[in-house]
Amino acid sequence: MKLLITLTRFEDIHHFKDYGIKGVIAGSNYFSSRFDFSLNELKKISVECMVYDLDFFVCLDTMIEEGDRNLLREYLEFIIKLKPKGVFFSDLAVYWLLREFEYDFELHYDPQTLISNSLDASFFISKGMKVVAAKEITLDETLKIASNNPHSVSMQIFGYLKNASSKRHFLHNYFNHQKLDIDLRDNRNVTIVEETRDYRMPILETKYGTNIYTDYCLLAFKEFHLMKDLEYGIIDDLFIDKKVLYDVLNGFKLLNEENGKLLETNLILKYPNISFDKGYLYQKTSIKKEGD
Amino acid sequence: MNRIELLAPAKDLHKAYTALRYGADAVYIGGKSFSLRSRASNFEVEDIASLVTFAHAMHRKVYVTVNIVFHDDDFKGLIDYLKTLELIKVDAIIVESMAVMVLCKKYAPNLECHISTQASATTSMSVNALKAFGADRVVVAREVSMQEIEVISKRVDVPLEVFIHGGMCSNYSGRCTLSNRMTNRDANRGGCAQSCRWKYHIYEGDQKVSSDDCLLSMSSKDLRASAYIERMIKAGIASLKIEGRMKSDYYIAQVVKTYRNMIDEVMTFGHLEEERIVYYDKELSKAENRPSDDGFLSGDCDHTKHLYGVNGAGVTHDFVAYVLDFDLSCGRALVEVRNRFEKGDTLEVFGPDLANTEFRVGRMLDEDGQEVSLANKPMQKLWIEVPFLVKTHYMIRKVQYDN
Repeated sequence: MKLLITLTRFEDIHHFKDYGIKGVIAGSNYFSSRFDFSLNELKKISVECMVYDLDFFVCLDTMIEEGDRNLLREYLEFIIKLKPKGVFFSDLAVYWLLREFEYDFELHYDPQTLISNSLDASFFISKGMKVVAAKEITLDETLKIASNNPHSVSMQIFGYLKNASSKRHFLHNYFNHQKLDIDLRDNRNVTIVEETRDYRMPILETKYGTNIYTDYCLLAFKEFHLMKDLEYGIIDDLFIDKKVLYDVLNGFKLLNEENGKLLETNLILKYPNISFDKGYLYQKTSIKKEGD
Repeated sequence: MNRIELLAPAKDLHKAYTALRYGADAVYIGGKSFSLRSRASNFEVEDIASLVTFAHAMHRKVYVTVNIVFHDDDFKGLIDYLKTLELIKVDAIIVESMAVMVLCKKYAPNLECHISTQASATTSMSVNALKAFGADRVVVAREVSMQEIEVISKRVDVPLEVFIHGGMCSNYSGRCTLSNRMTNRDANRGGCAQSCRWKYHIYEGDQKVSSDDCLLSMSSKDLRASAYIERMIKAGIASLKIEGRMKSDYYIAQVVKTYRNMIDEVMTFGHLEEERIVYYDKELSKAENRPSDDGFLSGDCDHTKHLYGVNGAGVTHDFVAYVLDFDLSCGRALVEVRNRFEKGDTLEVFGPDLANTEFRVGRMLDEDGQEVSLANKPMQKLWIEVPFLVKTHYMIRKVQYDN
């Protein structure tokens, strides 16, 4: 499994190779729920990736609207010129529109939830795509999907997981309703806490709508050596401080089959304010409500 | 104008029959397995077969949801199930999984595959991709506006199904795992706890920025597309879908009948006047249990389309009795009591072929012939005098007049 990392700060690119990173994922303020590089910056990132021998991937993780068809077409033309190694996308509209073009890069379908079994993964792979496994399935399930579809399945292995995605602007609407002059759009320091619970879930509102993330940060050093059939392991740095990120990258660099647990403990002790967790790796969610 | 399908939900046989009697062209139901809405009763295969026979005799259709987001272990028994559905002549299955669609095409090729809203088809491009994958029909995502629906319809050559009424996910359907995280119940395999309807504090850093007297809720008002029925018919949409496999007989009857009448009026007169839409909205409110609006059909969903500090209510009429029989010789109806009413109350009867008709409750007799003045025992059978002909399966409600 090769490591990919999302890119938040342009200047980080030249460090990544030292940590064994294979490539970076970046996006612009077009069709991305979390990247906000300008087109020029994206172009520069693609060049820098070449310089530092990193693969370059573009992220288009929003749902597409019918009225954006021409804009998406233009954006795809732009991306093709950047010669990326691949594109991560969430909406099949991207796959369909790309049929109009000649391109030579990987298509990674990442709908967040739907790639939850081997057969669905195989289906999309048969259509020329690679896939990102659903976030809410167990490690065993993911590994089974990957072993049934070798080198075509990726998964997020670090970071906050996307819990929900909406076209609605929840924060903006709420403050409007309350007649409060507060604007938290594009603010990455916002969390929500359910009234009977005590954990905080990051929430990020952009022009495309709102995304809600898990209250915990997935940490899977211990499981890393089991993931050999996966194509890419994705390190997502959204909401992660630079210092923490480099400690995490250092952890990945030092990882071997024996020391995963130790490296995890070190990180947990060093950053007690971050809720590191295994997420769904060992937790099956039930199909039915208890008592049904 | 092409004939458009009115598609209604049903959680059990009785409700499916009600939907069909009150004007649905097709019903969608869940089997015991592979279906979302785990709390819906869901049908045994024998029930599905009975329903298909009933529906086909009326030239109507039955669709079965096979729409969980499948995990590897969930496929066990699926092929046999699909073959059985085909054997008993179900018309279509509703699926999210492309793999299930492929298996269906291979092992039960006479079943149509309709792609669930969980596939989040928001554009003609995604619809066309799904069509190329084998879809026989695609349910358009509820995030799409009416204007977009019209454009999409022109750009695709696969039948489209559009939600017109009922509850709305506030997040993209199929892409939300709030329930998984907060209750360990899988939102996409029938266990959704509707965590989006709960209340949340908002923090910027460590500072609380929400008001304690009204917290953030992602809860959406229900969808009500009455103002768009004419445009949907003219846009060539194949099917208009009502949400609500958990809903009651009364809800199904009232909502189905109202949209049936709307569709028929457009088909007959080519147009639905504004005042008629107002009338139909009033009819829909008689079954409403949550405030409603037109969702994304008119464009963006602003704060007026959310529910803050509201849990529902708003039904203007109580369903009080179900008609079991009518004795023409004495003008009495045998009814099954569902909610409280008493002698002197004004009630309203409606049925598949009866417009709303009011009467004042007069003499009431129990099954032993004893006169009673109060009906307050659920499922009790009473004979009540009704001054006009009513039929089995009609429903009676109590009129709540505006002050």
